Amino acid sequence: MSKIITRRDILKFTGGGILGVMLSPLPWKLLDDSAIWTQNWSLTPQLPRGPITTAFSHCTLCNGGCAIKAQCVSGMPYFVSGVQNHPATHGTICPRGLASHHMAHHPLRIVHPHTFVGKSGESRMVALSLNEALDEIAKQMSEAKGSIAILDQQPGRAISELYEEFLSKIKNGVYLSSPSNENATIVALQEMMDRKSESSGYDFENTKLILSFGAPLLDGWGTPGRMTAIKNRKSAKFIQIDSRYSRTAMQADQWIALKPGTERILALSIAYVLINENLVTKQIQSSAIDFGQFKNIVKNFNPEKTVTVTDIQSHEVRKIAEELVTSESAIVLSGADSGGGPFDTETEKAIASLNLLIGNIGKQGGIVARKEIPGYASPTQPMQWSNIPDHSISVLIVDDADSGYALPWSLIEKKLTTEKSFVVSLSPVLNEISAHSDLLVPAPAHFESLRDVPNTTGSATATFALSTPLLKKQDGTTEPTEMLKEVAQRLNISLEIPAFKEILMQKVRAIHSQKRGTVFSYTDQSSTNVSDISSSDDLWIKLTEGAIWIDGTSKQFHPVKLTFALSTNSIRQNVDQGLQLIAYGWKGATSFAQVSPIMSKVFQESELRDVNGTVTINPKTAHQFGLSKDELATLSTKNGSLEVRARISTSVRPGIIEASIGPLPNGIETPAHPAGTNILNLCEVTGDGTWRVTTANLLKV
Amino acid sequence: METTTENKSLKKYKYGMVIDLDKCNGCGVCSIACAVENNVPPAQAKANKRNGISLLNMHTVSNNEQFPKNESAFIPIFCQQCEQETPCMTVCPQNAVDIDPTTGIVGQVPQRCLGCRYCMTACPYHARYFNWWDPEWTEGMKQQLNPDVAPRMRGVVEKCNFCHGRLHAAKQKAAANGSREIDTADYIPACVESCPNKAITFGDLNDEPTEAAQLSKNKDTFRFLSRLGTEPKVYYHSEKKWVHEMAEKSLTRSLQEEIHG
Amino acid sequence: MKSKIIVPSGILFGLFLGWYAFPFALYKNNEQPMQFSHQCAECHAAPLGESESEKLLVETYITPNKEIPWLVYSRQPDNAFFSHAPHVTLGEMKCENCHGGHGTSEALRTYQENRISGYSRDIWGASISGISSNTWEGMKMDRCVRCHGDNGRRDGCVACHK
Repeated sequence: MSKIITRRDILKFTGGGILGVMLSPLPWKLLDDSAIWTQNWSLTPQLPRGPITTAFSHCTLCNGGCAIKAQCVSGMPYFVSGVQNHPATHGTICPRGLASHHMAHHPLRIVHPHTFVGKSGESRMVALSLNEALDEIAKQMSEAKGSIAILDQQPGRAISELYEEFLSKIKNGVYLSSPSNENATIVALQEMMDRKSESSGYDFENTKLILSFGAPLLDGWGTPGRMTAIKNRKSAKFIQIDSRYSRTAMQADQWIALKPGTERILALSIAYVLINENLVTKQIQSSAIDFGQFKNIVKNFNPEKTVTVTDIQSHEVRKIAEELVTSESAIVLSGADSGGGPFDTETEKAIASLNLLIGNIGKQGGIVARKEIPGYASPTQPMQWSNIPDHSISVLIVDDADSGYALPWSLIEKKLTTEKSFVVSLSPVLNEISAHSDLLVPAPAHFESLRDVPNTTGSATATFALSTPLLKKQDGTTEPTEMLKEVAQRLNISLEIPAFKEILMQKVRAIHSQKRGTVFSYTDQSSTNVSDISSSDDLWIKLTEGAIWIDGTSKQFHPVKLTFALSTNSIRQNVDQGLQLIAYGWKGATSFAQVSPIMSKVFQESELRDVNGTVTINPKTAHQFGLSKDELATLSTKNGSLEVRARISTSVRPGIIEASIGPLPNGIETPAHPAGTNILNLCEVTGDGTWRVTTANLLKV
Repeated sequence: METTTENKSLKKYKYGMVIDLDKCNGCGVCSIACAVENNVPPAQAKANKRNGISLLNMHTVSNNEQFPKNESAFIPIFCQQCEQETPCMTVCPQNAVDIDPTTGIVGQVPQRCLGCRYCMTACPYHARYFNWWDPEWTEGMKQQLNPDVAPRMRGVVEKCNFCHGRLHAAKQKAAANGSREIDTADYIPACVESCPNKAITFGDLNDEPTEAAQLSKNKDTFRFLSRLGTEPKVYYHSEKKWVHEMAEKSLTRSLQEEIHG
Repeated sequence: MKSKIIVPSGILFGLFLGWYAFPFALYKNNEQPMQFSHQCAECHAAPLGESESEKLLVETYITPNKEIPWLVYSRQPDNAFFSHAPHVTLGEMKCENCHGGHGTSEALRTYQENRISGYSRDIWGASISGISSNTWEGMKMDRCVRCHGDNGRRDGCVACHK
């Protein structure tokens, strides 16, 4: 009878069992283990483990070509920094370069050829085989009615030479580059001096005065470390002529706040003082063919008269002119804001002419001639955007290299034929231009393949380095050289393209055979004369392990005939009355390329850099339009309108709207609206590729 | 606290920084270097400057003069390493914050944090950040995390620890050579290393001859909110009077903006 | 009579579960990718070409240049920083202090993986109670703290946490 197990017995047994378990380590152990589990669950990634190594390479995200040191774990780079004591970068890299190792793993990375299917706006990407893609490019090229263009935003590389050779072998080939060029002043001078096929650079290291018309010299220009080193050495005075309180204006020794769009007028009024007060070199008066005509034009720009246009007092203009001639050496250069667009040709020439007037050409601390890198052909200047007729390009190949400067799609669209145009993008990451393209043939991403880094922007002597791969090349990507070779074959164009590595080895052999210059190695921080390196293979090994070749010899400028060839003598401001919109950006972060998602730290999680849709206005302007801080407003131009958030700051000139073309708020990873899309669409982009000032209106929402 | 013989024989460091605001051009490289070094994830779609994580946050201040007499300066704000009455440490119910007696570094162990955010309220500098989201990286970026710093999970607070991963590496290197004292060249925080203008000077403030110790005593060097008496170990340097005046202000800037607007 | 034994037998069953059965359920037995004898390696640093393991080592790992995926008995979580240098070079600790007889072992033990935390059983210690008189058993934080305290180290948390 007592053998029957009752419900009460089960409960008692369970109770005893629980008590027993409680007296064992089980519950405490479970608690401990589950606590550790929460630290290791898949929502928090596990750290990579493996040997820690150091590798050297060069960043190719812009023309700066900065040397980088990469700390790697199991061969994977995890921290990128500058190379200490580097002769060009002085150990510095920019924020974009610091996060450059992320680019291959960008959320918008593309690794296979794709095409777009469906109407624009709602199209979707469809993968296709490389052969199909190449056949399509060849077909489009052979059927092209207009010209065939290649847009290469880092001209002067080994691949650039191949592009030019390819284009020279087809009819209607057009070689294009970014409309904003950091070497714009040099290009203008070379044209004026008729020395288009030679190289020159800025001797910033030896100059005493740098007069910059809007160039973002201290905010990423050229090789950023070079400019900051000169600034920190205090060897040169920086005068920044800028319509905005830009980062460079902030850091310069002097900021001259002129009205937007009046740079040409200010430059010519400086020229007026130089000529009027007889401060111009004798040489220029005799060598300039059209000096009389130039004098005639300049005559109109009396600083007393131009003050109403430029807002720069005549005594200030005089002071600049005097400083230019009294300074032991000086460089005058122009530059586009990375988002604000380049100057028009006439302005470029006006600014460049100041260099001729003060006679700094070929002088130490001026604009100096540079020998070519052995093995590289003399550079040909890419076609100016102003020389390309509207609606003339049928097929456009956009190389993956980035200039760091904005390139509005509306400018490209203006030049494409209205019917049946075909755009191929080689970008490894989906960006604004690839989103507008017809075909994507992605190249290997940054640090995935071997690249050459010739002559960084404006360098006074020739340099050469290699960007050695730090990451494994993704399957499905196509080297641009391969693409070019295959397309040439399909079009029956004879184009000898050896393997890209072989091309670069040829360049290194040429450098070695000329025995010029020195090589600075990053691993042991030593300098070696090329003549002391026994074989070109040794030089190659040095360069691939991390080194830069620097030319030892300079080149002389010989006296030449030159023409100023200015045509406009108008001192009227080109813009209408009313509010003026000026766009601005940040080199590299607001260009056509994408940035590492980690850049959200400065765009989104702090107010250090401005996102798209942020406009800044003066309190007076705000008062006039009834806007207060952080209020929404509608910004409109004749190209359209956009809802923006108004920020108020006394650092903006009254009557001016400063609009950032940065990434969209919370949208670094958004493919549909890459950097610059919105604000740049509102800007008035002219045929010569400028968009500096646009008349706009601002209405409270 | 009882100090045993060994700790007495160890050199006492007091790591600190002096930031030259006149040299800073607000390029942002320190902020990015900090995030990359410390495995801070990219911003989530909904993150903003209030709920995002930017351990080294840059603030822009202006003298509010009218254009073109206006001037701006950038002020990097991160954990100020308060030496006295360390507010975050005092309030933490979890003992997740402490001051290392050998280095003076206010250390935060996120894995010990229970996420009450009391420390964030207590911090006068808003230099502490809460993980509102799970950290997210692309698959490839996960392989590029710094192996010396553990990623944080959702629901915990984090802050600048003066790049403790780099201090570990320096200590390890010194120990391998049989030394208890690190080579100063081996321990340089990421922001200091990456600053193109060399605006940040880092070093032992106890060690008189170091540049950092000298600069911290310069007449143009100041600390933010020094009236609170927390004795921060992060100093700022500027020769501009109006920047100095910022030191004890917190609300003035935004108030003035409202008035102008 | 019966009611008197039900509760104790329940308790006994509970104790059996917690002390004896639970460890079997908690740990998963994983074998090392290949065998290795520390004792033989003392004299024979170069391969002899005799054992199966040697063949495996050459064929699977050395020739394709792959890292051997050892299951590390002492692996700690990502947020713990441990370096041998300060402990061995400065602290003059012996290997056996933490690794026991591993250095003279003939064969590699089975790696017992905790199904919940993912770490080796060695971290907690062989006994489920976590109590052991052996210095090489149990590598939890309290052990670090105790030893540091005993040796007069007063460090902050981030001295060992990363």
